[in-house]
Order: sequence, then C-alpha cells, then structure tokens
Amino acid sequence: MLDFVFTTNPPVIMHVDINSCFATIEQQANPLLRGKPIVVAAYTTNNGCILAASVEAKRYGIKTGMRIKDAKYLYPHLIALSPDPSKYRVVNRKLTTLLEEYSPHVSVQSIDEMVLSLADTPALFRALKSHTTVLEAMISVAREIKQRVKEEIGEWITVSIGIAPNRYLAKVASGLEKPDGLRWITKENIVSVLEPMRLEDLCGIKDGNATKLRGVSIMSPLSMLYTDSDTLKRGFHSIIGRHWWLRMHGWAASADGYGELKQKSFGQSYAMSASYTAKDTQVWQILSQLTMKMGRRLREDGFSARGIAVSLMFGDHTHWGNQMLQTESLFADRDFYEKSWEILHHAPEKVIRILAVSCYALQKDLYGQLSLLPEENKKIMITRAIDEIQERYGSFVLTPARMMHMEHTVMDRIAFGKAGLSANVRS
Amino acid sequence: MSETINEPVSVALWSNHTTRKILPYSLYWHGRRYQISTVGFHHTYHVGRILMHVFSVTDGVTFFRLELNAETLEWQLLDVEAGN
Repeated sequence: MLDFVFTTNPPVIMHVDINSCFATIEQQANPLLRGKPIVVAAYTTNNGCILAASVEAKRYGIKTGMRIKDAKYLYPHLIALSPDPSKYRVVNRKLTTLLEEYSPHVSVQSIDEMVLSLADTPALFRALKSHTTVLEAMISVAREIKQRVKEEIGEWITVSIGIAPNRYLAKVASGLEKPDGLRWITKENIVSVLEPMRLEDLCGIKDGNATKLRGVSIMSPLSMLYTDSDTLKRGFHSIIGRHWWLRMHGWAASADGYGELKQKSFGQSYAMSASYTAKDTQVWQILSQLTMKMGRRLREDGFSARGIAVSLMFGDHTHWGNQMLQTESLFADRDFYEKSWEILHHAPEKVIRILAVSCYALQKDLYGQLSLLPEENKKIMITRAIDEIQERYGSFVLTPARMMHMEHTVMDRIAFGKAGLSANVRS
Repeated sequence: MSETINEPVSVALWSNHTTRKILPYSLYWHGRRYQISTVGFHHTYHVGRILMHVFSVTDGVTFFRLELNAETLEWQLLDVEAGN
C-alpha cells in the first residue's frame, strides 16, 4: 500500500445532515404520510420542481430537481406537497439549539446541515471518561444526538452524522450512509472510504474540476490522497489545489473556516406560473413585490446597497441579465423598484420563466447619516414608518398602488445555503 | 390531496405544567367531534407581532392543520387531508 501523510489532529468535527429534510418534516407533521413516497415541490403542478423527496420516494429513483410529471412516471401515486418554510425553520432552530448544548462552535451551513467542533468541550470530556479513544467518545456523543433528535424534535426525523478531523471529511462521512447514518473518516479507514469513489462523487468537484484533475493524471479521490500539493495546484491552476490537498489529508483549509459568511448581496426570485413578458403589468407587480421583500431584508440587517441586478430565465431556457451600479446608496423600496424596472425595460420580449432581482455593493450604513437634502430625510422617515407598520401588522399591509389587484403572490421560500435561514422578516 | 378550509373551529386543549406541553385533544367541526390521537408537529410563526401556533394533528383517519392565534385565542382549521 502507498503511504500518505495525514493529520494527527483527533476526529473532533461532526457534520449533521437532516435526511430528506423538507419531506421528512412533512411526514413528521402528518403521520398519515409516513412510509409513503412523497415530495415537496416548488409548485404541486406537473411542471413543479421537486425540492425534496422522501426516503420512500428516493427508492423509486425520484430525486431533487426533477419535475413532478417525470417523478410520476416513476411512481404514479406520488404525493406532492407545497413547501412550508416556517416549519422547516423551526426544525433548524431546534436542532441548532440541541447541538449548542454540545459545543459553542456550531456552524449552520444551510437549512438542513450543521457542523460542530467538539474540541475541548465538556461533552467530549464527559464521553472520554467511559471511552478509550476520541473516536469512540465522538461516536457515543453522535449516538446520543441522534436519539435526542428523535425524542425532542420528532420521532420520524433522522440525521446522518459524519465524524472526521476536519469539516470537509466530516461532510463526506455524513454522506456515506443515508438515511440515519453514522460514519467516520480517519487515517485508518480513509483509503477504503475513497477507493470506490469517482472524482465527481466528492462534494465540490464537478465535471470541470474533474477534467482539470484528469489532465494531471489524477483519476480518482484516492489518487488525490496520494498526490502532493503542487500537483493539485497545477491541476486546479490555482491555490485552490493547496486547499484541496489540506482537506483530503485531514487539515482545515482556510476557505473552510468557522467564520460567519459575509453577506454580499440580497436577492429574491419568482418562478412565473403564467406566460408573461417584461412588458406585462403583472411582471412589474411581481418585480415590485420582490423588491419590497428584498429591501425589507436588507434594511432589517442594517445595510444599504449601491448595485442592483435583474436576471431572467426565459421559457426557451435562455438567460438574460443586467446590472447597475450607483454612486449613491439605495435603501428605499421605491428606488429599488425604479432602478430594477429601468433594467427590466431593456429585456428581450420573450416569455419569462424565472424573474430574479438582487442588490449588491452593500454598505452597513443604513440611516447612518442625515442628508443635507430634505427629500432624502423624508424618504428615510417614510421607509422607517412603513417598516414599523409591517413589523406590527405583517408584510404587505401597505403596498404601492401598482400592486393593487395583483393576481400572483410571491410566497415565502427557503433559499439555498445560509441565506435561507433568515427569518427575521416576519410574514 | 389537502383541502383548504380556513374556518373557525372549537378545540379542547390539554396542558401539563410539569412537562410544559400543551396538546389539542379534540376538535369540533361541522357538528362532529374528532378525537386527536397524534400531534405530529407544533410550530410557530409571526404575522406582524402576532404569534401563531400551528398544530399538525390526526385522529388516525384524517389529518388536520389547526392554528391558534395567540392574541385573540381563536382557533382556525386551516386544512384537512383524508388518509388512504
């Protein structure tokens, strides 16, 4: 067997992943759905995109990203449900609170994934009293967490847990056994774990990176383990190769830190349920609603933005997008709407499938300085008053006149990654 | 298939101060009483400053989603779904 270096750090990192998150939570809520193939989809119509499939649905080959109609070819009696984000956020908060009892270093990766370090924690210290190795102690803590999830969050909810010396390998380990798995990666077993895997099986390696690696004769995750840092840097054409070398050998790469994700933008999107182009009033109404939601989240976190971008995906699967960078900061819904409308006005007149708006070039200076211009101060006061009214009575109790008789409402959705956890803005 | 109802209903609630648990145990709707056998999930959300409690429950045959408005203390039956 070839030799390789591997960290001597103990396996104190744990990656916790809620299995089939949205679908499992729906089965927890409705016991009559347990044991049945169900999916949670953006829309429950035939073209609705599947966001999560239950463990039972996955057995029929139904996967996230499929259309309902395609999934029904695989299982005609499939039950499709609309998402209920408030329920999923509650489970996320309950699990975070539970994990924080084990470690002060809990990092929420997304609505269904969390990472914690048990290094130097009373939980690990306690477990080590009855176990001889750190790995055995970690496994006992993981078993306790799995049991408590069932008892305190929901008996139908299961988590897969991965244990390793670093975050990346802990994530890989959590994906080795689903549902309800508990696996670990250490120097002793990493070769047998990586041996059956293809490059594309590694999280973060898609076709492009795999092709680059094959260009330097790295054909598998196992050969990544046996190679040196310089070869990986050549393969990735960047310092990223060094990060990968560290990850694969059990060390923490600087890119995988525990630091809070720096907010770079705020955005909202909407999948159209009817055939409209950028010239239709209905699209402007939806744009208005999206900019209001975006603006409220931005202000809630104390930001203003200088940039605004609009992007469209059309019915023919082509994309269009444009952006605008201002010298002055934007914070008011009206400004966001007007600037994004200006951008949208230049869009090709094609049927829109997805409309997305975002603001960027953020500054943490909301209402920081009073302006010399009276109209600017008036805008600040009006925006603050509107936000206070919505905080008290709920979103969209006050709307611009352009949103009157609106036919389509933008629903609450869970965004991918950490953005989806922001539930500060009340409905 | 879930059916949206959104109607006021009467709910009998059981509370235990030692476990700090509150569970709806029967539902009166359209002149019928449904004995709740399982509370699948309880969660909360806000409408403005008003806290809403949602109980996902079943009598073993039908699934009900009940909502308690913490300000008015009124119950609503949000939707029902027959099991099969």
